[in-house]
Amino acid sequence: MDVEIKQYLDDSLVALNSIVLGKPGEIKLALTAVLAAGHLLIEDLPGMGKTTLAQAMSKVLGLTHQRIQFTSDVLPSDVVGVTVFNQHSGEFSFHEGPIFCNFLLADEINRTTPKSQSALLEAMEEGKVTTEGVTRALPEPFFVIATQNPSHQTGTYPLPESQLDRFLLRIQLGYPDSDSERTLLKSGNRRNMISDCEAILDVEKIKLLQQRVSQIRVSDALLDYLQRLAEFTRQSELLHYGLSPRGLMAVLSAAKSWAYLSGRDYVIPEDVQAIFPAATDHRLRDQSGKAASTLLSTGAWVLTQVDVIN
Amino acid sequence: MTGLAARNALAWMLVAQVAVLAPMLLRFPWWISVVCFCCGLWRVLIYQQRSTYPHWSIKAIFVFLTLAGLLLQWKSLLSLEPWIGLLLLMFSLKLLEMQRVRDVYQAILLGYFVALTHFLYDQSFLSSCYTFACVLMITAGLVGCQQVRADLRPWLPLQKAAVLIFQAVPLMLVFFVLFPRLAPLWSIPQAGSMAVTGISDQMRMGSISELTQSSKLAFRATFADRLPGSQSLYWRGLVLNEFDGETWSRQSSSHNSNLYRSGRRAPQWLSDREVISEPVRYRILMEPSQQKWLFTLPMVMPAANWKIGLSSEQHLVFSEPIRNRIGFNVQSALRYRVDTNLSQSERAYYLRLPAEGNPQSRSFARRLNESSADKQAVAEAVLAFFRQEQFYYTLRPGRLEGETIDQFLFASRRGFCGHFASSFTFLMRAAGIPARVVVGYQGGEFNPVGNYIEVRQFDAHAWSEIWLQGLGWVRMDPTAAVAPERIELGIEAALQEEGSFLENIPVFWLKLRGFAWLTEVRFQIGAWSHYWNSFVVGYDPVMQLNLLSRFWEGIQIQDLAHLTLLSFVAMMFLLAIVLLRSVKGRHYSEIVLVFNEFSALFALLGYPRLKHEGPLDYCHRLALQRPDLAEAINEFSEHYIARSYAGDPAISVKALKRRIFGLRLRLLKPVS
Repeated sequence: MDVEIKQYLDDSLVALNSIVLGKPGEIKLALTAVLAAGHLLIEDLPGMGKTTLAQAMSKVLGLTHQRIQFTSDVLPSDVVGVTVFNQHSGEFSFHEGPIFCNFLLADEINRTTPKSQSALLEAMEEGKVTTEGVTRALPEPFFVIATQNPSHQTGTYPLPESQLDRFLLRIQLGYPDSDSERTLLKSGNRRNMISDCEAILDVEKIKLLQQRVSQIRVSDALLDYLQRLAEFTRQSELLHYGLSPRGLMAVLSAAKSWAYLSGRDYVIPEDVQAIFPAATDHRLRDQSGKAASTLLSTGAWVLTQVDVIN
Repeated sequence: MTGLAARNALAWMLVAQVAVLAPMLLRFPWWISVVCFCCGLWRVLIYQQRSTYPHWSIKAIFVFLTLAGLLLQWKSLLSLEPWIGLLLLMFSLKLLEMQRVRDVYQAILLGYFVALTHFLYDQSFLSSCYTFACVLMITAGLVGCQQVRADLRPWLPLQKAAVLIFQAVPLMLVFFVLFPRLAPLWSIPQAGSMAVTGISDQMRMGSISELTQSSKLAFRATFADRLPGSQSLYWRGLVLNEFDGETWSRQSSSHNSNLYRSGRRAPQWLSDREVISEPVRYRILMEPSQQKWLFTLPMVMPAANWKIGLSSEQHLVFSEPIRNRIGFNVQSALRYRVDTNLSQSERAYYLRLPAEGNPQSRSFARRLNESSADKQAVAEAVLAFFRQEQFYYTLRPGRLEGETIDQFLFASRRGFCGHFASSFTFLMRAAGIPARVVVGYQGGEFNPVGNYIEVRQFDAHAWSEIWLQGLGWVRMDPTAAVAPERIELGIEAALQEEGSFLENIPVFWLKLRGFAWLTEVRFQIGAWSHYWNSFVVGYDPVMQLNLLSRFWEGIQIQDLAHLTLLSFVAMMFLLAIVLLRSVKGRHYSEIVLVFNEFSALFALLGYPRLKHEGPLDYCHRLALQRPDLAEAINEFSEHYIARSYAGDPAISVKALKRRIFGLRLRLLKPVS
């Protein structure tokens, strides 16, 4: 393993943890999504630090970043850009929307209309934008952190399953523990800390890291475990539908990048278990609420039902 | 957190222990139950981590106290009870040191032993079924210890145990049928013979009515061909000749010791027997009575078994009191003539009465005798007297004192078979007719399922025999004169009006005869018990050789031993083939098996792997819980993960197995 590049990664983790307090697991998951070249959905109540995390990440990762605050009147053109007539040159020219960046923070994505949502999500999936017959590639790497309020809050358009599937991981931040909260109260405004923060990674390093992650070894024993997990979600009567092959691949790539973050060049079942709830909770639906009655999320419940070895 | 597998094993161990101990504790002093209960409770508290294992000194005190208790209770160690008590107590105390796998195995082994001790007390069909269930539960405990897989439904061990036992059935049958049966080389007496209800060798007026409150089985009789009518089912037990004014008893003189056994020189009285009808053949399977006499229909032929003697009073006597269930084949000629020549001394003997007492009866007998010269007519007249006067057949006769015969015949006139037989015989003797009282059973219930007659204690009966010139001894049943339904339909019908049949037993299934299906069930259970007693419990060396000589002429005990060994080897061979074939079907990879072996080892120590626990998490937990082994555990986990997930070819499965072996060795060493 390339020690130097790994060192940058560890430094970024430290930096992020100093800004978003008491959430090391969630921060590691967020970085996991970046390394796996996937998008991240943060779902939580307002004021839990979603935006702080996203802003801190964009800063630390050293990527060009944009932010779209979604409201119900945001139009697709507000996201991807618009073609306007330039009177000086007498030509139509394309004004790139905020989506043309490396790191996009899509705030409160479920407050906008499905039309605008799909404009963003299609771009996320394809990595390019097509307007008026012209296809324009988005910069590489392209990474979206979307935040959303829990869908039962008022004024929301819940994302359909097909759209949720585009996010590699979905995490929740939750309340901080009391020590972290005390530190937060003492140290004051995060915004200043973020603007003071220096970029640790850059586009090149991130590309290199993503390449390293793709080289992580996966044994047959681990694939057996993954397939057992998928098989269980498909067979279980308590789940509406099972994990799709794309979902399973998402689990694998997230597990690989988690293994890399944990300092291994091979994946062990514990890596899969660490990312499994975040990778599958938004892809599975609990049929009867029976799985949920165990107080575990759907993904975590699936983990308890499948034997790791054998 | 204690593992679920350990919970399953412990739960089944406790269930099995309760089941195994319950019937034994009922037979033992109460304090043993208390000790057993406390041990079980303590073990549950340990499991819940609300208590700890006792220190060795406390255990030593326990052992000492229980030993002292056993000695105080029984005073001597020369009988079986204190030893069984010791087994029960140690079995319970073992719970308090079930720390290691070895201890669990010992406890389970003890459990099997305790289950076997049930048979020292009861070998009946139902009790055997119960013991079988106990064995099943103990085996479930054993399976529970071995559970590695995380599928921990609590019923799983029981299912597996049932399958295991089912698989063992062929071997069991081979051993049962073929294993040479030798008489025990030694036996430890059981202290205190159990109280047995049954016919005794004394009869006071009314003493039989106590018997009729018991539904205990006396014997079962299976007839080879046709069944005799209920009027001929007089099962003679023994003859009572001595009367002291209140009690009829057996003579102790030389008459009775004059037994004829087959193969011996025939005594003179044996020639004075005349068979008139073709003898019926039947087999009697008799429950233990603690007495020597056997019950047969008259006139019984000498038995082929040298242990059974025929007395001069035409009943069979066993060579020793019947402590275990015995079966014997006999023949009886239902029509016969016996002792047509009565010597002067015998005649005098059968006329003996107390010098005085019961004057009213004596004069009544004398009057009858004077009125008729024919002895048989005198007897008929007495029977007519019973029939015509206001005599009642009842189980509640009221107490008679003093001149009991007079009181009964001329005052109370309420009585049971004992009253009638006693007073009838008295009248006969007073009238100068040689007479004697016979006690035994009358009737019995035919079980159509098992095709046998079942005689219970409430079928106990007493009647008379009188000697008539030219006819010999003739049976006279005065009860039949008063209550003919007693003989024809059985005692229950005779007492229907009074409702006193088995009145002391609150709920008894014999009372539920109104329900046809219940009767059917009762017959079925009875038949099963009968088959069990005849073919399983009663499978003795003789029966074994008889059975096997059907297939192998002239088979010897030595041949049996060879045959047993041969079948055992053959069966093991078959088993080996089956096992070897099924190995192919396993889909586990070698490396998975290695890890399963590792987690099985720690599961036995009480730290099973949870199903969803990955190897790294599991080993971390183990290392935390067993710091003494942490290094070895971590090394194993490192190598295992390197082999299984990092695909490191330098680590061989064999090396991993060696590590497990090393762990095993370390665990076997006693904890210092």
